Amino acid sequence: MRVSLSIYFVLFLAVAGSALDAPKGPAVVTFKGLITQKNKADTAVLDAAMLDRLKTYTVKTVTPWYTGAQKFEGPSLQDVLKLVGATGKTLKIVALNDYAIEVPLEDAALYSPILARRINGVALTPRDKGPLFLVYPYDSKPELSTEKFYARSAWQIAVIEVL
Amino acid sequence: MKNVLGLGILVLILSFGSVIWVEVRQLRAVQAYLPVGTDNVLWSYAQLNFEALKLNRVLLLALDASTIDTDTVSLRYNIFASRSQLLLQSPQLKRIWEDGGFAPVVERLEAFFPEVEAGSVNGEINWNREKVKHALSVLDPLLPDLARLLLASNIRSMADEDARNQKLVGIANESLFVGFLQLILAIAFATLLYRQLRVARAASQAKGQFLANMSHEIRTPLNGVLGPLDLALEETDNSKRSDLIRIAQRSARHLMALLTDILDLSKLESGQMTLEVAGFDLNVLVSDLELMFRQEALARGLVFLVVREEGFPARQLGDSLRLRQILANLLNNALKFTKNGSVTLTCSADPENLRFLVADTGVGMSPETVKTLFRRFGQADASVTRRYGGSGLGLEISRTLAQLMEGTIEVESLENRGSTFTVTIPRKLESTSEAPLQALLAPALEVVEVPVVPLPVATQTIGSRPLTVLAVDDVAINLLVVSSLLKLLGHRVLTASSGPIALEVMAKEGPAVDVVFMDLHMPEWSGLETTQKIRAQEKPGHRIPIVALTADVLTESREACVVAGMDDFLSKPIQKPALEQLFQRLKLASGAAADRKT
Repeated sequence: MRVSLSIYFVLFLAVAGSALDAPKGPAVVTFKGLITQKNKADTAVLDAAMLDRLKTYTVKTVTPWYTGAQKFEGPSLQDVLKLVGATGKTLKIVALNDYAIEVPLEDAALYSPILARRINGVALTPRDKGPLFLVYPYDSKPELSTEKFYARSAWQIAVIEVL
Repeated sequence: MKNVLGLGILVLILSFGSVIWVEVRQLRAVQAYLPVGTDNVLWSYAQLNFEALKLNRVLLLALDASTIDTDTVSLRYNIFASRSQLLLQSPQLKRIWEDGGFAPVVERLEAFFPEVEAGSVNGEINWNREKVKHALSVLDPLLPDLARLLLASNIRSMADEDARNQKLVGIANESLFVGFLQLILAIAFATLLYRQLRVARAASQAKGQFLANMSHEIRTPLNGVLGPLDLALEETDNSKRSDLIRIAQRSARHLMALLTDILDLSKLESGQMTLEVAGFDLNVLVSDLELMFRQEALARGLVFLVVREEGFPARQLGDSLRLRQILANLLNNALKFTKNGSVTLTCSADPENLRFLVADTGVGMSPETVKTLFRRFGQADASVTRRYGGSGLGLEISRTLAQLMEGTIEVESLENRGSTFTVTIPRKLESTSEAPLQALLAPALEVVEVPVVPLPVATQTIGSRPLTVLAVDDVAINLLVVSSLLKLLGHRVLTASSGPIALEVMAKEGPAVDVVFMDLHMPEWSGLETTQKIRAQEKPGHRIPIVALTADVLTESREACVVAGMDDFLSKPIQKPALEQLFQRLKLASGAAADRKT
C-alpha cells in the first residue's frame, strides 16, 4: 500500500508539475484567475522566500520617476508567471493603493520586464515602490519609453489577476 | 533650352532635398518634445491628493474606534509617504512645484514624516491615540495646500499641452508650406516640359517640312541633269549636244551648291564651323564680288552698283571666304528677287564696325515674311522657294556666320519696293607691325609671312606632269567619272573595283603609281582597311600618297583617314580645281609651287 501511494504521489507530481508550496511568511503578491498552480483556495500566494528561490535579473535603466539611470533587481515576470502557471492573455495588476492596470501577458516574453524587489541594492518597501515594482528595460527599445509602458509599470503591486 | 531643362531638374532635386531636410528637422523637433520618460504628471499629483485624503480618513476613523487597526493605518501612511517622496525624486514633478512657488508646501509635506516617526523604533510607528491625533494635526492644514498644488499642476499641464499643440501646428504648417512649394515647382516644371515638348514637336515638324522641301529641291536640278543628258545621248548634232550637256552641267552645279549649303548648315548647327583669322584685303574682296555679279546683273537687265564710301578701310582681320559667302548670298538673293531696277552694294565703316548694305528694288517682303526670314528651317512660304529656287538656307547660314564674326544682319523691306540687308561686322585690325612692314623685314627675320590675298582660286590649269593614278572604287560609274577627268588632264589611270584588286595592282605596278585615289565605302575591304594593307606591303622609302575619295565629308572620317595612313582627302563629286589644288599640295604638279603667284 505504501508503495502504491508513493506511486500515486509521483504520478500526481508528473501531471501537475512541481506543486506550489504553501506560503510560510506574509504574502508579497497574490495571483488569481487563470492559473494552474494554487496554494490557497483559488489563488496562488507568493511569499518572500518563494520569490527568493527564482533567478534574480538586473535591469539598469532611466525612468521618469528617478533622476538618472537606476539599477533594479528582481525575478523576471516570465519566471513568476511560469511559477503560478498563468495561461491567460492579460494581467490585471492591482496595487496597494488600488491603482489597476491591464498588461498583455505577451509583454513578459517580448520585453523581459522584471518584478523589481530592490533598487540600487536596497529592498523596495511600500514607503518607496515596493514590495514589487513592474520595471521594463525602457532604454532597450524606443517604444518602451512611452506613456503606454510607463502606465503599465505598476508599483506597490499586491494582486495580479490573470485573465 | 537644354540649359533651362537642366536648371529645372536641378531645382527639383534641390527642392526634394530641402523637403527631406525639413522633415528630418521636424522629426527632431517632435523627438525633442518627447523626452525619454514622460509620465502623466497630473496623475501623480492627483494620487498624492487621494492618498492624503485616504490617510486623513483612516486616521479620523482610528480616532473614533475602540481599537486602532495598526496594519491599515501603516499601509495608508506608507503609500502616502511613497507618493510624497516622488515629488523629490521625479524631475518632472519637481519642475512643477518649483516653478509654481510651492517649495514651502513641499518642505512642510516632507517634514510631516520625521515628525510623525519621532520616537519610533526601526521605522515601526506605534499608532496609539496620541500619535494619531498628532498626525492629524500636522496633516490637516496640509490638505488645502496639496489641493492647490493639484490645480497648479493641472494648469501647468494644460499650458504644456498647448505649447506642444502649437509646436505641432507650426510643424504641420511648415509641411504644408513645403508641400505647396513643391506643387508650384512641379507645376512650373511640368509647364516647362510641356513647352519644351511643343518646341521639340515644332522643330521636328519644321525639319520634316524642310526635308520635304529639300527632296523637291534636289529632284528639280536632278531632272535638269538627267533630262538633258538623255536628250544628249540621242542628239547627233554636236553643237546642240554641247548645249544640252552645258544645261546638265549647270543643273549639277546648282545641286552641288545646294549640298554645300546643307553641309555648311549642319556644320554650323553642330558647332564644327571654325572661322579663319587672317588679315585680308577688303578692296580685293569687294572687287571680286563686283566682278562676280556684274555679268549676271547685265544678263538680267539690272543696274549693279558698288559704292565704297570714304573711310572704308583696306584691310580687315578675319575669314575673307566666309565674309564673301555672306555678301555673295545677299547679292544673289537681291538679283534673284529683282525684275527691274537696281541692286546696290554700299561699303562703309565707322571706327568700330564695317557696314555692307545690299539694297534692291525688287519684290520686297511683307512684315510677316521678314519675321520668319532668318528662322531656322523656317521657310516663310514654300511656294517662294519653288518659284525662285535656292535652298532657302542661304540667309540662315549668312546670319549664323555673321554671328560667329560677332556681327549682325538686319533687314528692312517694303512690299513691291525692295529690300535692304545690312551686314555689320566689328572691325578687327592686324597687329600694327604686321603686313607691309613685316613683308619688308621678312628675309632678315626669316619669317615667311604669306601676304593674305584671297587665293586667286586656281581656275587656270596649272601644268602638271603626266601622272599615273590608281583609282579604287566599287561603283563603276564613279571610276568612269574620275578616270575621264584625269585623262582629260593628261594623266594615266589604272582602276581597281575592290580592295583586293587594288592590292594586286599595287604589287604589280607599285613603283609606277604616283598617287592612289581610294573610295572609303567598299564591300570586302573598306578604304581604310585597303590603305592599311597597302602600307603594310610597301617598301620603306617608297611611300605612295593615298587620297581618300568619298562623299562622306564629316570631320571624324577625315581623322580616321589620317590614322589609317592616308595623306589627303578629296570630296565627291570631284571637280577640276580641287583636283589641281590637291596635286599642288602633294607636290605632284610640275613646278607648280614655284609658279604660284603671291
